[in-house]
Amino acid sequence: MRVYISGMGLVSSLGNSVDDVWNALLAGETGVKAFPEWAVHKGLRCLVAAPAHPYDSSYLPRKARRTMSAMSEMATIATVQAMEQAGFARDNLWGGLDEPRTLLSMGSTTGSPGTLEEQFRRMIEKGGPEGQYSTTFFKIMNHSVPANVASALAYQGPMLSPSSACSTSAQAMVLGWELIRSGLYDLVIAGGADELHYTSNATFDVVQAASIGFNDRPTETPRPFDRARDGLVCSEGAAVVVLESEAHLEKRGGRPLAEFVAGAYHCDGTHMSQPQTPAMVKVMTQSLKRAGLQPEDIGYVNAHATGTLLGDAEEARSLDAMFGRKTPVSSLKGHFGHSLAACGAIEVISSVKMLGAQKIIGTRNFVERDAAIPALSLPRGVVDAKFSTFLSNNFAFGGINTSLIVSNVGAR
Amino acid sequence: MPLDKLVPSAQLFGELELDSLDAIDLMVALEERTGLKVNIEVFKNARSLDDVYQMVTDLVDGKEPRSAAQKTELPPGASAEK
Repeated sequence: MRVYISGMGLVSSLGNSVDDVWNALLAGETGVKAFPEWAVHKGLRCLVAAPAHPYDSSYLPRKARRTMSAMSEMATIATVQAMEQAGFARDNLWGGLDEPRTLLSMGSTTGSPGTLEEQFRRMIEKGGPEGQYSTTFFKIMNHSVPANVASALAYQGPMLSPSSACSTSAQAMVLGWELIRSGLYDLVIAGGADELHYTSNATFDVVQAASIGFNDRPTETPRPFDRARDGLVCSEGAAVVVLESEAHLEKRGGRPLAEFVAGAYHCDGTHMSQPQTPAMVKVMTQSLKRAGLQPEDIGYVNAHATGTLLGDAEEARSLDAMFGRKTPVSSLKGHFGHSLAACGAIEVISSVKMLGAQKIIGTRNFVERDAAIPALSLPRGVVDAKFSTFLSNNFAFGGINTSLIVSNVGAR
Repeated sequence: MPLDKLVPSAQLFGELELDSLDAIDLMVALEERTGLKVNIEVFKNARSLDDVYQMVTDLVDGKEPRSAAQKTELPPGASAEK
């Protein structure tokens, strides 16, 4: 049974619609900005980040917004976009759907970090729970994002909240593909969201993985694969993809945007934060095996490459081992920053646009290849390409690796 | 919420569409604004904006709450329990 992508939606540092983001990518824009105000946080060295474009959530009912932090607002907006593109009306999103055979599956790295900070600040100030707002907890639950999306959009079917940090939305998509293939669901709304907060920068700063040398020239970082790269830059956003079985799509007369061919998610089983080439090779191999494809069938690789010294080098070595040096590879982290739980779906959406346009968006800020990076095909700028299938990687803290494969409709 | 709906007789749990979560957050906000501790049993009996106003003025004036003795059942939807 084939599984198609029939809708896509996002809120991101490059724009708040698929078309706006695609135009920003073609223009080589970046969402990274300086955050000098974060210098008040003692020990925080990374003072750059990529905030989402301003968005309007005022159309959501007050009772929905009161339990939402930014990640849930963005996820709701992205869900509506994706469902509308899939052909469902905004005022009747679930019309015609068999809800028990529809799955809402999206997550975040954690609950709202800003709300969590505020909750504990008040708790410490007051010496206990006195004065806590009743709506606080609903912003910091691990399943806050899908719970709020469901509540805002009156969704009453099955819901899951996969959470695996930077591979969250990739895992949600692969899981959706698995569940549709298993026959359990006809349609899966899969995605992820995260919101910007200085504690996210701090997490990566503490483990020496954040960019700290570009605070005075933020648009020049992160620099995936580049010799001068010095770490990742946190971003925020939400991205949602509608996955749908071929039979269901045909039955309702929907239009496929691309085929979600296969994917896999594996654990390193060795280390919480250090990426491992063998584990990356293993998950890509499994993804190809599930797709019934060979490495030479992959015409473009969208790398996770966040701009860290170790992660980029390990991934580049794994890509060298898997695909050799002719298959074009790029990372979009130089454009978007690293949107954590959202990045997998943001990158799939961007790559589907590349597939449709037969263009590859090269790695922004990649100027000179680092000696630790094998001489892969690493395009700069925007290049024309003929390809029908791409592979997209995401690797996360906790040692979880995802790899998925998407093809043009009718390519296989 | 439209300002013209905020009249003294407006019913919190009906016309203004508040529920249990809103009621708790309203109480917290009133405590923050006044710097005084709201009597939750009195607050539970508030049904209209005017009730809330009377409760707050009593609180600020240091008067005995006039509705403290009342015990009424919460309206449907006003329970915070899941």
